[in-house]
Amino acid sequence: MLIPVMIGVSLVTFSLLYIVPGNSVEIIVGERAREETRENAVKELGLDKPFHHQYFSYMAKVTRGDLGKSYINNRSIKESIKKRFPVTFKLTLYSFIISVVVGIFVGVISAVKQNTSTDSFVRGVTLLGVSTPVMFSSLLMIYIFGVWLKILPVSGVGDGSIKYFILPSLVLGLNSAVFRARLTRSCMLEVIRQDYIRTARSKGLSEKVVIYKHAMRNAMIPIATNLIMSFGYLLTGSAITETIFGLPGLGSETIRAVFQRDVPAVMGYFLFQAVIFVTFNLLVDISYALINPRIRFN
Amino acid sequence: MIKKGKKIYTVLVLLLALIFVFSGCTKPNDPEETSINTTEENPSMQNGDSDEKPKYGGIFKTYLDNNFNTLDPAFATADRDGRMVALLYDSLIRYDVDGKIIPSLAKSWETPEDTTLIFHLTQGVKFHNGNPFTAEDIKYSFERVLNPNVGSPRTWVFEKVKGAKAFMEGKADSVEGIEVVGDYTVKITLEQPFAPFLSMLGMPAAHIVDKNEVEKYVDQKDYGLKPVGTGPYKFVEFSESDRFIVETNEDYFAGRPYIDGINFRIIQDESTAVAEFEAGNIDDLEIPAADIDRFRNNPDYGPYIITNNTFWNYYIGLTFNSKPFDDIRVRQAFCYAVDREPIINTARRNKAVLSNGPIPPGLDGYREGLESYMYNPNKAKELLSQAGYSEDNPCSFELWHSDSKANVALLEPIQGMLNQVGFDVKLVAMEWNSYKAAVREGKAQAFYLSWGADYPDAENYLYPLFHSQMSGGGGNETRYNNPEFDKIIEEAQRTADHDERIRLYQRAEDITIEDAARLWLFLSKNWTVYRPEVKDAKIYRIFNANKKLDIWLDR
Repeated sequence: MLIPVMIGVSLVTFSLLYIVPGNSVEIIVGERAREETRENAVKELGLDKPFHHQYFSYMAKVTRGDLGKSYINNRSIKESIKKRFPVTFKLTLYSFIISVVVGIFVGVISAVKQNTSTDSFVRGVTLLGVSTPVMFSSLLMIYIFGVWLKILPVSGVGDGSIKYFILPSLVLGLNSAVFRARLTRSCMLEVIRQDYIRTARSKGLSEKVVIYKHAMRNAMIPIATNLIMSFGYLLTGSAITETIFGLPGLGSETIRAVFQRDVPAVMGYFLFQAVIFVTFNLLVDISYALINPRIRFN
Repeated sequence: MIKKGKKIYTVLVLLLALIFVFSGCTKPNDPEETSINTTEENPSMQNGDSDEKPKYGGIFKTYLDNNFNTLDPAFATADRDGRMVALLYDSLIRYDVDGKIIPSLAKSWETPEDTTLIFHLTQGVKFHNGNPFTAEDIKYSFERVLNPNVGSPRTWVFEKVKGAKAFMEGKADSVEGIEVVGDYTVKITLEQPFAPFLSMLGMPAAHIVDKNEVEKYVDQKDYGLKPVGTGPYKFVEFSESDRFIVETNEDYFAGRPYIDGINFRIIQDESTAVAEFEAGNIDDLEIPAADIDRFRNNPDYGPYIITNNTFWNYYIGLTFNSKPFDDIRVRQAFCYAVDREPIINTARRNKAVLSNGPIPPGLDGYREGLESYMYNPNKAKELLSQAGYSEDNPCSFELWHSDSKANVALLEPIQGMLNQVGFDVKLVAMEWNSYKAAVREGKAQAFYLSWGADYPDAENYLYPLFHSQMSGGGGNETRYNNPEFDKIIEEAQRTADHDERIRLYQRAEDITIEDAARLWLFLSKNWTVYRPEVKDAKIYRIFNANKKLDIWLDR
């Protein structure tokens, strides 16, 4: 599973980088460089070779575990991933927790109190949340907590302690919590209408037991799938948040690499992210089986 | 209860959001009136031009808008890299606030002949590792840039030195024109007289490295982040996308800086930088265009803003060798058709001053009141009809630019004006790297770009931009080709006499304006605000001139 995906990802990414105009030589040599200098730089990077040659020599290195060095700043891609991934992972983990706790809680409340004022209020807030761009909510948070109240750092990673992650995680987490709440609400509503819930209620079980033990357990199946996949999405989709909050993570760096046509960097980061995605897909499959015995061994 | 409390909280947050939105939009009462800022008239461009005695100590907290790629002088091509190199290393000469040449590692120099420069070096200078600096280091550093095995992209800085070509082609073991005369004397001989050479010696590539450090690395590119120079600051730590820390070099030969060190944060998003400044976490801020009025009208910030014109000259290039701009009448019509002043004042509000030619104010050769193409739509129409275009047959072309909101805001009104006189302009936005490549290859009919000074000599705005040999990547993306211009600028390069050289520059400039190869739009303006405790901060006009030697902190 992993190997064909990796080959696919690498081939598509490499072709795209090959096709789009411009290369990193533009940035390396700067203005006024002699034509020879430019040609030498192209040659040194092997960019004058035909596509298959470039691709296979890169892949040969990758299979030996060598992700190469950045064209632009000569830094090791492996080191870069090692250093940057923990930052992105922390950000993702915290936002994930926020997203799960807030999202499921709000979703369940909203479903249980369907069509009450609480429900419409919650739905209003989530609508607002969906419609607010991350750029804007980030700056709002920064100004409220960082500039005016001065209780949290504005940006950066500082010593890496948790306070530097609170604001970005809130922004990223609440943004995805909104989607989670909506999903939870609709799943819960569907389950609550089922016959076995009515049966449970008619048995005289307390509302709490009905909701948390019977309804939620069944509603969890689609939610859990979405949950694990969304961790993958958060992990790879944190670029804007990282840039605004000045976090030295992998997301903002990937964007940099793409814009500068830094081939080894783009390839390295994409392959790494592909591994993560495949892993999470696998986790989704496993979790299905764990939560819902009916699917097991299917 | 819980429900109610939650609601109130939400209402509060929404209110805060609204306050934020509106405070962001507040328009100043009358920006034109407040534009007479004291600092603007203060020629020294200083913050709190103080009579106080400078204090030593303190860490200056600032930021970079992105990572640098390398701190190795031979490879520092980006603006940011060059600025950092200037803190860690020294060159023979350096530039003062206005871009004039002043001594640095060379305490004096003489020119016995037009092709010879003899530098007398400052004695007792030490590298950060304790090694003494001597004339040998000059020879090593300059030859290293030319050495084909090193592969520096900046060979052009030294290629006019005698014997440079032979050395680059591997026909000589050393460069004939760089001679070590004594421990503290270096003689540089040029192939032929080349007047701007002295001013080029302050460029990043001409900064001096220690052979013992560079040669520790098998691949010299690995030296990039282990810099050891003679400069006023020493490298401490660099954490990518996070921070860069330097400390004061106590033994700096020209006297240690007042501050104890500089902490750079790397902040890519400009709004975040604004917030960091307002939160008091950084000591200076280059104010984004959108925030300039707000900062100027804020009594906490207004008095501490300093502003200066940069040497960045923005233009629209018209490709000389392809339709429709191979016709001088079409190029001139293009230039007459654009009323630049109102467009620039609106689209680049506060951040630009009108530019009429390649040579920017502040460089010798600049002429006050030089009028190039003043808005004249009738003349533009006339020229276009002479060139065979009419209302039914408009002159259509594509104007390419790199994709950004600011560029579109500037170019759309220009497009409108051009269309009024009989052009049919299509704006094409491209991602920067693809754009740069396409322009260099001459694929664009017209393109929007800028040019900044590498060294403070008007030649830097003429030779690379207009000489036929610089076609393509050299700087002349327009493929401009006029033998008369080539002759005059080459003559100017060889002319040692200052006044005569300036006259030649001006004649060369006149030719380029007459030929309308580029429409000059504006010079960008820098606005920087400092915290009140920061004293004697200056905006240097040459990008890598500020070695942070004047700045001190009153805290």
